[in-house]
Amino acid sequence: MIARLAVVALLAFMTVPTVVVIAVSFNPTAILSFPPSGLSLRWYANVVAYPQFRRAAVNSLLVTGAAAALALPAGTLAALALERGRLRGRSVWAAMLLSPLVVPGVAAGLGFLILAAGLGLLRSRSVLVAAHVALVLPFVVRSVWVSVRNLDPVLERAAASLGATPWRVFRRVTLPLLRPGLFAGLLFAVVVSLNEFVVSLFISNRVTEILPVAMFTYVVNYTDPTIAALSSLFIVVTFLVVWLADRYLNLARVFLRP
Amino acid sequence: MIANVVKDLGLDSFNWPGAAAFAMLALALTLALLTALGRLAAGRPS
Repeated sequence: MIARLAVVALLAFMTVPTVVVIAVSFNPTAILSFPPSGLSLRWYANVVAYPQFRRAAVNSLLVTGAAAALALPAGTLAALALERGRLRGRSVWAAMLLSPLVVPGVAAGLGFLILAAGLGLLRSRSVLVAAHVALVLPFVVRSVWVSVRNLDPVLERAAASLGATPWRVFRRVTLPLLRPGLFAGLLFAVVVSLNEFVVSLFISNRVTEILPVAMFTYVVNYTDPTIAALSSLFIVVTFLVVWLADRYLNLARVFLRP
Repeated sequence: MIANVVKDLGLDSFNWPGAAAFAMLALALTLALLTALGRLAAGRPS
């Protein structure tokens, strides 16, 4: 009984903030009050009409798309090298690749800011893309690494013994078998990049800022439920992406396979 | 919070050396914590 209560309390603790944000987003008045005094979509209309959010959404899509497109092949090759390559200091390489997980965001953000200023790239999205690649790379490496470790090398040896070239074995055997890990890595890359805030705050300006930074700027200047409406849209989109990926790609198979 | 200090120094005051010093402090604290936890986990009987 106590265990069940504890689980319910934990679930409530994790979901109540989300429920409150979604409920507040339908508030008809300009006050962030809970429970809402009525139902209105005016703040959702405000989200669509606010030009800075539109620009930031486009920036978010561009940066996330570029970061995922770069991080996926790089992370896959890194995972293959870590598992199968004849590397000296394998643990050092692994620690370096996974270090963005433990480096504080402000330290990374400041580092990218100073570097970008030195290179004259502060007005460009390229530094945002580079930072996001570095931040999502550990997630891609970990996801693909698990798949590489679970890959049965007998299958690749069988293909090679039947006359397939190494490239053909990689393309027709290895890559298809790594597909769940690749999709999981891609999913993590997209979700982490879309939600990234701390590092992006340091290296974006009014023109290049992504959606989480635009939301922060809005909150600093205004206090109305517009931000709750945008947060709700963000939550729904992220939930849908993860749910669809789990439904069609069976992510549990990637992470729970013995 | 160290992160707020780094943000204020780096983005509002443009005191990048000061912000870098606090960022290094945050990094050192994180690494020290991770090292201590790693040692605790390694010393724990299985």
